[in-house]
Amino acid sequence: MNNNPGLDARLRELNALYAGSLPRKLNDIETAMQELMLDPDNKDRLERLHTLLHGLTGSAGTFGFTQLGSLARELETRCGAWLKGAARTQEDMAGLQAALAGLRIFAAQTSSGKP
Amino acid sequence: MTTGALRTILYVEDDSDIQTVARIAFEAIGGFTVRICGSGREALDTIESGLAPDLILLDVMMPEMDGPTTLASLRKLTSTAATPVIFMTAKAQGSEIAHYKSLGAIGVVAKPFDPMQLSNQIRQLWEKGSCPA
Repeated sequence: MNNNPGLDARLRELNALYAGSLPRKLNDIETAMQELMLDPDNKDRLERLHTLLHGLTGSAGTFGFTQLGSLARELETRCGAWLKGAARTQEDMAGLQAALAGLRIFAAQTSSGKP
Repeated sequence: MTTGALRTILYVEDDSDIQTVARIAFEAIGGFTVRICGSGREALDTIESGLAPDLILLDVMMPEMDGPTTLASLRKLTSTAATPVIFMTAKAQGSEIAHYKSLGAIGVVAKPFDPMQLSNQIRQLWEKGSCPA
């Protein structure tokens, strides 16, 4: 990738650190989702979930987790539309919850192997 | 409009993971001097305390003071009234890029970014920004 082995090693180390932080990030997202499910009309809680997903969207790909970032972007877009007033049903919420569970499975698979 | 060489960058970003990798991208790969602030408020304080960057990079979505709000505040300060600004965002569709440019940015970098390419991207936007259309 470049002619600086030290730099390559440092970037690989950062990728590994990021992979190690994914369970915590996903826990935070799941907690935000659970809190939203308890009070689906709470805009602050929806905003919190949207912010966490936005963070994952922006960072995952930078550390090599491209597909995880794409999935996060899809979920962030859904939350963003709801924040702008798009209608949402119980089924929409259940679908988002299922997708978030998929996010964790996907992250576990990718962080245990190659991003 | 940008003039002279690009040496010093002020990067405003609230995500610590991104801060770390961006610092490597700018310093070790790009050869720039970079100052990173975790919020718009910190960036304003840093400018007011005397930092005079050649370029300011602003994350768009940050708590309390987002990128566009930070830019508006920076424009009110004499020392950064005309400093070139680039937004960095995970939302970089055509219409969004046009919007950020309408706010006065010389360009937009999409997140996620490739750390190996980030400095080149920034340099290209800088050079493009120095050539009026």
